[in-house]
Amino acid sequence: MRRLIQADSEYNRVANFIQWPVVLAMVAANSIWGGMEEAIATAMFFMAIFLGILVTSESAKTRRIRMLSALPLPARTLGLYRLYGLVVGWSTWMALLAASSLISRRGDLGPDYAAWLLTRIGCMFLFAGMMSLSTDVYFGARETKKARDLQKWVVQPLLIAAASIAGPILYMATVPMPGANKILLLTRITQSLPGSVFLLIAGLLVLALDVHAYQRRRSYLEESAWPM
Amino acid sequence: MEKALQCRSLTKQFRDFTLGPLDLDLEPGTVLGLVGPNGAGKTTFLQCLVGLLRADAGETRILGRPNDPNRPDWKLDIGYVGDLQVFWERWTAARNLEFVAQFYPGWSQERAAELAGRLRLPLEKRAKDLSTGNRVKLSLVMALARSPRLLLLDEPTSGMDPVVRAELLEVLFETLETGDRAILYATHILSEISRLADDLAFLDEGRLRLRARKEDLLERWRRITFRHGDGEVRLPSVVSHRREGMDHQVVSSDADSTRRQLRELGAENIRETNMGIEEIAIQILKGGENA
Repeated sequence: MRRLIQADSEYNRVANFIQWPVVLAMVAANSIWGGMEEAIATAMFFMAIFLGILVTSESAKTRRIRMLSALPLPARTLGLYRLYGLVVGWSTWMALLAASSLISRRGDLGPDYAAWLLTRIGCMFLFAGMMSLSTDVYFGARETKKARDLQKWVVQPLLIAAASIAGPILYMATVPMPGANKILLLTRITQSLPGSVFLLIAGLLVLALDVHAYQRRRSYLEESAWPM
Repeated sequence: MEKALQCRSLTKQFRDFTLGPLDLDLEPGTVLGLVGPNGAGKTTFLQCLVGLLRADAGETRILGRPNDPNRPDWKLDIGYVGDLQVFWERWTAARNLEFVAQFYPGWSQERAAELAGRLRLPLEKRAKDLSTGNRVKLSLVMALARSPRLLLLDEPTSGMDPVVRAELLEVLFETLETGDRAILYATHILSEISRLADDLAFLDEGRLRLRARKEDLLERWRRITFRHGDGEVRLPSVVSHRREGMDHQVVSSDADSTRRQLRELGAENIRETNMGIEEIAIQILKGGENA
C-alpha cells in the first residue's frame, strides 16, 4: 500500500503541484480575513472533481488496473488504494479549512461549524463512494446477459441515482443557493450535528462496501465502467 | 514435485462465448504451446489464470496454491505477458521496471538490465512513446527479471521484428535451463512455438480439442498415398481423404494402424510423408482429433 501511494504521489506530481499552493493560499486567506468558508469549500469541491477526473481518466484509458492487478498485492489493498486519494486528500483539505477557521474565529467554532464540516466530508465520501461502487458492482456481475442486464438497468441506475442525490446535497450545502435552505429535510440533515454524523457514517459505509465489492469483482480488465 | 499449473473444470461464461470446462496440467520444466485460432479463448484462459478474470466455476492451482486474488503469494512465482501492455505511461521504461521490482523479492536488477540490452529496449523512453514491439519487450523484461517458476505468455511476439523474435526465443530457452521452470505459451502462430514446446494443447471455441506431446504428434501423424481399387476406404484414424481414380491420399492421426489396415485391404504402392506441426494443427483444429 505504502509503495503504491508513493508511486501515485510521484506519478501525479503535477496534480499535487497544482492543488497544494491553491489550497494553502485559500486557507491562509481564510485564517487572516475569515468568513470565506463557503467560497473555499465550493472551490475545493470543484477542484476535487477536476483532480478526480484528471487522475482517474488517465489510468482508465491506459487500463493500469491490469498492471496493478497482476502484482502480488491482495485485491483489498488495491481497493483501499483506489480510495486513498479521495479519503486522505479531501479530509486533509477539510482539516486545513477547519484549522484556518479556528484561527480566524479565535478558537470558537461551535457545533454548527462541526455539522457544516462533517456534512461536506460525509457527502463527498458518499458521492465518490457510490460512483466507484457502481463500477465495482457492474464488474462483479457474471458475464451472462441476464446478470449484466440486471446490473445495467437496475443496480447501476439505483447507485447513480443515489450518487446524484448525494452530489447536489453536497453542492447545496456548500453553495447557499436561493431556496436551498427552505428544503426542510435537507436542512435538517446538513445543518444538524446528528444529521452530519449520519452522513459521515453513511459515506464511510459506502466506501467500505466499495472495497468489499472491489474484492468480489469478476473482472479487473477495466478501471471504470464509466466512459472516460 | 507440485505441478506448475493445475486447472480443474475451469469455466468462464460470456454472453456469446463459453470457455471450458477446461482441465489442464503443466509440469515444472515443461513448455506447453496453447494453440488456437483467434477467438478460441486463449487470452481469456490466461486472464483467468492470473486473476484478471474470475472464473465462474472450477479450480485453478498455481504451483500448488489456489489463484485467490485476496491471497496473492502465488503471483510472486509467475510472470505474465498479456495481450495488452499497460504501464505508468508518463514514466520511463526504467522507472516502470523500478516500480515493479519492489514487489518481487526474487527480482534481479542485473538480469533486467541484461535482458533490456539484448532485446534492445530503450529504457530511457517514456512508456507512452514506446512502439508496440517495445511495449511487449518491456512486459517481457518485467516478467523475466523476477525469475518466475511459471511463465504465462499471450502472443508475446506480436509486433516484434524477426531478429528480436529470435532473440526472445533464445531467452526463453535459457529460462528453461534451470529445469524447474514451466512456460505456457499461447499463440495462433505455430512456427513460433514449434521449436520450444514439449506439449501442445489445441483450443477451439473455448474447448480443449487435444493435448499431446509434440514428438508424439510428429511421430503418429502422416500423409499417406496408396492405390486401391473399387469402393470406399473407411479407416478409423484417417482424418482427411482425397481420391483421384485409384490414387488415394489420406491424412492419418495414427500412421502405424492406417498402414496396417491398408495392407489388410490390399492397398498397393503405400507411401508416407512426414507432416509439419502446422499442418497437423490445422487438421486437428478442423476436427481431426476425433479420428
